[in-house]
Amino acid sequence: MNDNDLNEMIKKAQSMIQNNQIPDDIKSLINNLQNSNNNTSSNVNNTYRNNSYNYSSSNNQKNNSNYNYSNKYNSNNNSSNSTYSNNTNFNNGNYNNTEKKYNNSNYQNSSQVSNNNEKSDLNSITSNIDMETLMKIQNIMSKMKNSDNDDMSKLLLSLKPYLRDGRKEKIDEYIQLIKMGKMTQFLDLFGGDKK
Amino acid sequence: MNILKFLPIDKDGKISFLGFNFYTDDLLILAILYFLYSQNVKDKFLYIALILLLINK
Repeated sequence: MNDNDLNEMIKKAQSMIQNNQIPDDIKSLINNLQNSNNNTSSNVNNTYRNNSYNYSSSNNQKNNSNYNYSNKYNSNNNSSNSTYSNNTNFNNGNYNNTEKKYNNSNYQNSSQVSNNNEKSDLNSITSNIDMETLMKIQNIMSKMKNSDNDDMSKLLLSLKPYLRDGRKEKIDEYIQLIKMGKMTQFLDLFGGDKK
Repeated sequence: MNILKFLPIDKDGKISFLGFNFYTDDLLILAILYFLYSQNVKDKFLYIALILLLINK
């Protein structure tokens, strides 16, 4: 494809835009893109500003057409701030019929992207956990597993067949209750000043 | 020697001893508590469990 062909295609597209002869398929695509942008911005609590959309036309003046598109995308993270700006200006030839100004400017999106937020949350959580706490948790988990085979539960379970039916049902509850009571002894390891 | 001659156990398994009515499992729990105490067992949660069983009907 030559440069001349590309220029012709661009000119045709511009003339179609100027004459408001946009096909329905392209309109639907643009609407879908706008809707998807709105949805994502509302999900992540963005301040999505698209305030100035000026479209004016007059049939008597013959001037240049200005197509200004500025897109500013600001993403705020805890770790990094990135600014993406895209300013394109198209100033092309003289058109005899209409003057159409299409300004889609001041498009600012300061957002916190959800994936980046999740990653930063995970990083903050993992940075707060130190190895000492992990070792304490590991000790507690191992003691919980070993508590199933301790002497107290063995004695109570061996006593179970010699009890009445009402007490047989209570044996398991008491074993669980006393395991929870023993867990409080391990939880004291987490901190707190002992007098 | 038959222990039933010394402990008046009725048909329901109740034992009236010193004015109290006990079941046989009550006596078993009391015997275990006494044994644990005599052996200087320091597991307080075990005592709590056995006393709760004794209180529970």
